Amino acid sequence: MKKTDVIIVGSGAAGSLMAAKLSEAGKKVTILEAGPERRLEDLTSSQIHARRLKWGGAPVEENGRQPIGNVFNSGYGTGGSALHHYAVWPRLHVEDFKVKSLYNRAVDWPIDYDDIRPFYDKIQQEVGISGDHTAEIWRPKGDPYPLPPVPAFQQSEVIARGFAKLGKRTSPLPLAINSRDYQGRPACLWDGWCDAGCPTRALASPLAHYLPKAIKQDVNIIHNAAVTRILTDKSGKKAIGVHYQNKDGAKITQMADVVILAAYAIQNPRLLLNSAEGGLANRSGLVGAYIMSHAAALVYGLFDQETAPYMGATGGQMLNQDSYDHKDQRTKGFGSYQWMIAQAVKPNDLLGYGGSNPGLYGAKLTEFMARAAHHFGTMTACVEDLPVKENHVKLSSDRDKFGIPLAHIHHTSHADSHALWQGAKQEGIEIFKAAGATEFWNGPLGPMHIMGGTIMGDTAENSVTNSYGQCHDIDNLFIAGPGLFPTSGGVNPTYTVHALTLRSSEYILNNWSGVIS
Amino acid sequence: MPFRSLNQKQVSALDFLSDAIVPGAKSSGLSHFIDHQLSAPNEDNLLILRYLRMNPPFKNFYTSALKAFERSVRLKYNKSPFDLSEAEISEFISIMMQKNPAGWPETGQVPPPAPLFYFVLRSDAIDVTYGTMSSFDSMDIPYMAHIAPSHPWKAPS
Repeated sequence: MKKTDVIIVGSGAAGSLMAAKLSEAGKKVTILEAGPERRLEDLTSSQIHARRLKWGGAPVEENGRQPIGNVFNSGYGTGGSALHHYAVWPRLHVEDFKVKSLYNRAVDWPIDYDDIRPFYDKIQQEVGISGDHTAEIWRPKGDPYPLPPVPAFQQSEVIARGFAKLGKRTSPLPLAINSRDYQGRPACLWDGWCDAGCPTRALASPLAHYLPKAIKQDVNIIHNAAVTRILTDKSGKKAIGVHYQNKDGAKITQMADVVILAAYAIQNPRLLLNSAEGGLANRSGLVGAYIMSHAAALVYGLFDQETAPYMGATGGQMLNQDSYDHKDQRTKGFGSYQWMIAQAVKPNDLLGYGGSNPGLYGAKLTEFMARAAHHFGTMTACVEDLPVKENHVKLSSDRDKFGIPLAHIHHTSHADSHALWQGAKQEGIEIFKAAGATEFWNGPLGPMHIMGGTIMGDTAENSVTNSYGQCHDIDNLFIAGPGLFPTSGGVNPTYTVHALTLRSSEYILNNWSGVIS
Repeated sequence: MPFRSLNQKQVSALDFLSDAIVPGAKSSGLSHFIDHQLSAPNEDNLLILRYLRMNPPFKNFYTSALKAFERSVRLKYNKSPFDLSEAEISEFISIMMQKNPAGWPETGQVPPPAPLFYFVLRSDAIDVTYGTMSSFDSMDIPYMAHIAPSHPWKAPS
């Protein structure tokens, strides 16, 4: 097997960006993707067909009071989870990086907002984000958005009235979806098929933006390649490659100077734990610890006005972050949350209006579906999940078809995070009442996004990697993706994943000889 | 279209119950949808059960629950599910969405809890009754497909 400069495990948001940047700098890169090949022309507009994009690899065991919803939140195949992400791209706030210092809670990040700000700015220019930085009054410092804001359709106008009546503010939702043609990608048609994958490339999925750049540089993507082990030299302090198995079960060795794990927050620690007795790069004992998932506070309602709920983006149209900064000043609980207002909704699937009120059946359901098709409204709070060490990924006693132990996840929300979610739900109902909803109700807690499990930090005692995702114990082994987050904040993670990955890629290139020595 | 995973008795029970929960499910092909997915390779399975921390194969989930459904109905009403009046099947559904009805096995070969089966079957039925291009038309909402599905639930060949 020919040695390559860099192996990247996973072709999602972090993997594709890393591959593009390293290959553009002249590095030979191979991506090993556990799932099948996905092409833009495979992205059928259907909530039923969309399920094909979700996790379909080795089963994942989940327990705890608030399971993290691995299948719904993870991807499988080219583009990974970001292929079906909704492209809501707000920034973390200044205080998200210093929760321990400011509130004596959780942990601090090893970097400040100012360290990551230039990378947020670079990414938004490269990829394109539609938004209005002046209307988004909560936004931390940063360059103006390069694209005008997304349009507001009837649903968001109706719901925004409720915010206004209660003295709360709204702004356009920052979306990595083109409001006009940008970077060779077309403007969105606002048809709400984001969850099924966007074949037009208006939404900045890996297939739309960074993977084509990587492929242009001859990055080799091998699909159906399930990495089973990271290989090290005899000292155990240097990664030398990986073992992977293809669809037929053949065991293949790929050698490399640098190994980058970008297989999301569950499979990265699973791979580390399976690669050495006690886990590779696990001097801290924290590989797998601090798994987090935002709690979605779901609010639904029916309005007399036409809401056209089929129009817009799946992530929503408007934003409110009045309950974000000053994490200790919430009515209930502790932390931050944001409202994503007026998601485009289909009739079916977990987030469809048909599933919003499961107590309805028979003729009442028929009546509801007819009304909801034109008068439904919804919004979702993305609620911070405080890191809890006991929320972890461990290896199961059960194994996959290759004989590798399955990932076993435990997740029970911190009591203050759960209280925060309850407070958000209640606030949402008050807003819908103020907006004039004739009926209003909440959904159950929905897990949204997966973070942690290989957190970054200052030392090998309190974290798995440094701020660049470089493992404390192994200089040429990196981790990329939301698994690095020491805290979750209350915003969608994909923009921050891009910013952190860009920062890491520059570090790797600037320190190449030191990294591989 | 012949069934590959379900027998006729199971299909009849599935059609009957799903149509009572989501009117129109039977004529929309609910039993064919489920039968097709149960016959597909695990990684191509498109049932909503994928999202609910259940790992395929899913056949036993449905067949054991259908058996429990018939057993519980017979215990409560002393007749076949197909002979229930509209009021009786509605009453039974209102029970099964909240708890296991009497007679729903809780030891031995345990079917899924009745409320979970209700939620899953309801979601499946909404998929085929409301989640297709033709159903969007009938609800007078635009489908706006970028790439239209060649079949409501079968993968393109």
